[in-house]
This record gives sequence, C-alpha cells and structure tokens, in this order.
Amino acid sequence: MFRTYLGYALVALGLYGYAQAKGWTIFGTEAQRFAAQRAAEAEGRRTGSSSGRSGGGFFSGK
Amino acid sequence: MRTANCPSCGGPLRFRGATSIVAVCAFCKSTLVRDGAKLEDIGKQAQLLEDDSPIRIGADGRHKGVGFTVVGRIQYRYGSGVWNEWHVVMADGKSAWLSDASREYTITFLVAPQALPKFEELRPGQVLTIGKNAFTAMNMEQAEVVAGEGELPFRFTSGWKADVADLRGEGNKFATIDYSEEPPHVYVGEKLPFDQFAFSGLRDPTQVGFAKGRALAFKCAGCGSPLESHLATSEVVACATCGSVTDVTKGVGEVVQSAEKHKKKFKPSIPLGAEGTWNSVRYEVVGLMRRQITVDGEKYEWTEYLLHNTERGYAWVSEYNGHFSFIQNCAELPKSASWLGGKPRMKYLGHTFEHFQKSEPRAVYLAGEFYWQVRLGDKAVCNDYVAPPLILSSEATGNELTWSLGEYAEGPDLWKAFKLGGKPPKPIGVGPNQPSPHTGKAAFLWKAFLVFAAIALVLQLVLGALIENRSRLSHRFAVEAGGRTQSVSVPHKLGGVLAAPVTVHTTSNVRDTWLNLDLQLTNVDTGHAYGMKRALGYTKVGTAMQGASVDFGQFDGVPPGTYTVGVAASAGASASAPAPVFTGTVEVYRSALGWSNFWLFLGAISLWPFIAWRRAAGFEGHRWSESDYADSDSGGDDEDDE
Repeated sequence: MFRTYLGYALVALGLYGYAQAKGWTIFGTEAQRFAAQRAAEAEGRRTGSSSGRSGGGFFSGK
Repeated sequence: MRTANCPSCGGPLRFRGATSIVAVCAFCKSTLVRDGAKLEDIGKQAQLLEDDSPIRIGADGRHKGVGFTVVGRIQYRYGSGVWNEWHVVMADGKSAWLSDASREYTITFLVAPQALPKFEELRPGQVLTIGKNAFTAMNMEQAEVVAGEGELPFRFTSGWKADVADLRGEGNKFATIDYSEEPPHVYVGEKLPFDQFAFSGLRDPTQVGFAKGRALAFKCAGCGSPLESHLATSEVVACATCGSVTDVTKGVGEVVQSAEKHKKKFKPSIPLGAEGTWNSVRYEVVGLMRRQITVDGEKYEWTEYLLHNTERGYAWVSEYNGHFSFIQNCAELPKSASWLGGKPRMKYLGHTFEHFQKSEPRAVYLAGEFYWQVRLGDKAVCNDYVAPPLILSSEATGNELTWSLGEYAEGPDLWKAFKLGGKPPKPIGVGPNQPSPHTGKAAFLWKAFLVFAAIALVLQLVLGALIENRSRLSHRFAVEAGGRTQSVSVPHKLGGVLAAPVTVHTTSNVRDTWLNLDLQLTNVDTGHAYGMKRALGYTKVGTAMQGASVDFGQFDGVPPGTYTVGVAASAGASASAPAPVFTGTVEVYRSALGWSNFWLFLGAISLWPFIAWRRAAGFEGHRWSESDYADSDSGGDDEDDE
C-alpha cells in the first residue's frame, strides 16, 4: 500500500512539475481568459442578454 | 545459630535467625517457643496443606545483592485460597518475609509503626502513605493460620486469625499491614519476579504442581457427573453439567454451592484440559467462567478460560465475540494519567490506556477447577482501559482490587498453540483491544503527503524563479492613423524550463479606429519565428464604438531563449484632425506560474491518506461503539473493519 502510494505520488509530482514547466493550467492562460471574455461580451451584444459584460471591465480597456 | 533438641521427641532443632523465637519440630510437629535458654512446648502443629510452592525451608536466595536463607513458614488461608509466608533470614542478620501466593512473590521487611486507618475503614483503592511512599489498598482479608514449620519470629497457633491488608505502591513496591498486632505491624518491600531471587535448593520440580498420581477424581454430588481436580492449589471444582461447586481444599469436600442448573448449555470454544504453549510457556486450561453484563436491558456474555503453568502460575484467555486476549496479573500497580477527551487514562509499562468501559459482570457459568472460592453469581466491578493490542483491567470485589493486563490474541494462533480442532469462531465487530489494521498507515501516508507537498512547494518556487515572469520583452511602436509601420525590438531573454506559452500583452491609445498588428517573435539564436495577427481598436456599430485598446494573445510552445519581437502595425483613418499618431506597447512574457496545478496536485495526493484516515476512524468508531463513550458517530464507517 505504501509503495503504491509513493509511486502514485511520485507520478503525480512528475505530472505536476511537467504541467507547470509547460505552462498548463486548468483555469486557462491570460490570453485564453481574455479571449473568452471578449467572446462572452460579443455574444452578449449579439443576443442582448446580460450574460456578457458590456464593457468597462478590466479587459475592456475602455 | 543456636541448636537444641526437641523436648518432646529429642529431635534436633536449629535457630538460625536472631529474631526467631518459635521453632516447629520437623519430626513431631511440636511448637517450641524459645525463652532464653528454655524451650516451651505449646502444642502440636496442624498439618500443612499440600501446595505447589517451589520454595522450601533451607532454600537460599538473594535480594538486592544480599543472600538469605528460608528458615520457616506460616501457611495462611484466606477467602481466595492459601498462601505461604516464608520467614527468611538475611545474610546481614535481618529478618524478612517472602510471600508466595499463586506464583506471585513479594519480600517485605518490618518497618516502624505508622498512623493507619482502622481495618474496617479500609477500602480497595484507598491510598495510604507509608513512610514517604503512597500505597493503594488492594486486598483486605481475614487470614487464618493453617499451620507453620521451621523457625518463626512470633508465637502462633493453628486457627489463629488476623486481619491483613495488602497494598501496592509505585512500581513494584508492596506493603502488608497485619492488624492482629497492636499497633498494627507494617511490612514494606517489593513484588518481584521469581527469577530475581536467584533461588537455589528449591523443591524438586517433579514434586510440585502437576505431580502424577495426585489427581482427585470424584462424582459431582449434584448430578453424579465425573469430576477431577489435579492442582494442589485448587480451592473448588465446578461441575460443567449442573453448576455445583465442590470444595477440594482438603480432599473431596462438601458442595459449597448446590446444583444451580446452568440456565443453558454452554459449549466452550476451548475445552477444559486443552494444553498449549503461549509466549513460550506451557499452559493447561483448568477452568472456565462465563460472565455476563446487562447494558440497556441487553445481555452481553464472554468467556474466561483459566490457564495454569506449574512455574508461572495462572493466566487467563478471554473470549468475546470471537476476539481473544491472553491475560495475566499486573506485576506493578498501574498509575493514573491525565484525562483526555473526557476519558480517564492509566499508565502501565510505558503504555497509556484509555478508559473503555465500566461493568459489573456476574459469573453465570463455571466449569473446572479454580484457585479461589468462586461461586455462580459472583459479582465484581470492572474497569477496562485499552491501548490496542493491550487491555488493562481492574476488578474490584468487596475487599479486593486486582489489575490485569491482556494482549489481543488471534484466534488461529491460539488454535494452533493449543492444537484445537476446527476453526476458531469468526470475530464479530471490533474487539475492545483488537489492533487496528490501519494503525500507523494514515499517519505514514500523511507524513508522506507532507513530504510531497513540501517538494511540490519547493518545485513551485524554483519553477517560478526560472520562469521570471517579471522580466518582460517590451517594445513600443507608433503608427499614424491610416498608415503602416514596422519595427523590431531589442533582443530579450525569455525564461522558462520547457517550450511553453508566452503571453503577448498589447496596449495602445487608439480610440476611434481599428489597429491591426502583425507580430513575429524570433529566436535570435535559432532564427525560429512565431507569428501572430492581432486586431485592436474600435469599430462603429450603430452609433456606438465597440472594441478595445488592449489585447492579450499568446505564442504556444516557445522554448526559453533570447527573442526579438517584430511589430507590423497598420491603423485605420481617424476622424480626428489633425490625423493622430497612435502609439502602443507590446509586452512578451511568461505568465506568472499559477497555483492551480499545485492545489490540484495536493488534492490528488491527499486522497489516499484521507481514505486511510477515514478507514482508521471507522474502525475506531466500531471499537468505541461498545464502550461507555459510544456516540452517534460510532460505527458510521464500516469500510473494512474485519
């Protein structure tokens, strides 16, 4: 059991280090978040819904 | 040493001890009292009861480096059987008493009179101060002299009665108070293992205990079933068929508890007479007792098997729901420890025991021979403390307090040791002192978790330092409205470890037209280039201007190295006059190392120890669900408790 756990944790540690070195992140990079925000704003403008921010936020630059 | 001749039969007499004033003639049993040069015959001694003590007059031993010789003994009878007080004369001339009761040995010395409570006021567990030491009253009995032999330091006669209290102190300290004297005689000494006395000249082992030809066979007066007693120390024999208890202290005696038919037939898992070796000691099962407690109207029963070994005396094996423990009397008095979690605790042999339950069991089934005057219905107040695989138990009757230590025994191991047929009963639930299969696992896993978490933290900091997100390739550009321009930055080193994304953050002052950027990131050393087109600025939608003057993009798979960024900018016409020059900044950098993967990693590696911890907690919940401390959470988890 202990060896299995140690092996499991070592593999997890390796994956974690590799992911960090590769810049992988589950929450997306700044660019991905910015693109998602712009897309949401555009969708909001298209449909007139309030789901997308209408500007004035951090990424809008207005 | 002084020698004399018995005035009754002429046999030789010796007074080896200066304090010896009585000698029993070994030939005619006359009791002779020394008064100066005179010897007074005060009558014949009664016959000593046969016992299995390995000690005899003339045996030598040592205590704390001082040799002694056994010169006499008084045999006493009390409620729980017979014991011997051996009068020993130390090499330094002192006199002491070596007590031998059921293979437990104490040596005590007379000390100065003490302020003591009356015998009637003493209670088991009461603490007295003798000298500078605290002693706990363990046993108060009226003892009766059976007979004596050899040299003794005071007059006595058979049938003489004395109120005696035994007390235990810290460690192996022991005290006895003899209330038959005024003021009471106080003896203080130690309880020690037999081997520590380094005896020589003991009785022939083949003449002690299970000697052949000493079996006492008879028919139960209650039901006629054949019964047998083969231990010299046995006080009673209980009939397994009808429950009658027969006194066998002087051969086959009277039935001291008439045939109270056992309410139900009971088939013990370990039969009487079974022999086996446990902890390198050969034992025979000589008796068994079924005990019962009632909790919330529900009856719980367990079995206690009495084991006997000629050299080591008695031990027990308890059985409850398929859980077994091997039990022996405590050599020392356990100490109270501070409470924890509302539970009293005791310390013994370096272990800390938590209180498990208080119970008042009564004997509901008896079979075999016992070394004390046991009866069906006998009650005691018991307190159990656990430190798996150990269980520490106190048992108090009206005048006695005893402590015993048990260790969990696996059924298959017992079956193998005692060569029993079939299989042991399957354990049900969790035994009070059953060792947890999870003990230490969760703690080990949590420790490993902490180590990995620390490694990950260090890795996070090292990677963060290598990536150097604060060092940015920054390039300013300018473009006229309606115009185009190209520029290239100075080379800049981008940190990192592996090929990873780099962020491109663009800001501009464009307000009323579009701005397109053609970006190219070029590795100065390899010439490898990464291209990207970005659109900023504003477009008119209806009457409103929509867009942004900032932008975030990223180049993927960029290895660390030295790079330049080339910017080809083109801007739309502006309504402003004169035509403005738009400026902007392109920053290329590694994004700061996020912590999401770190937390994800911690979550992943904490799962295993968390499950182990839950399993351990579930097992303990089951254990404590039958204790006095059961709560609503107990027994909630039953993942793998068997």
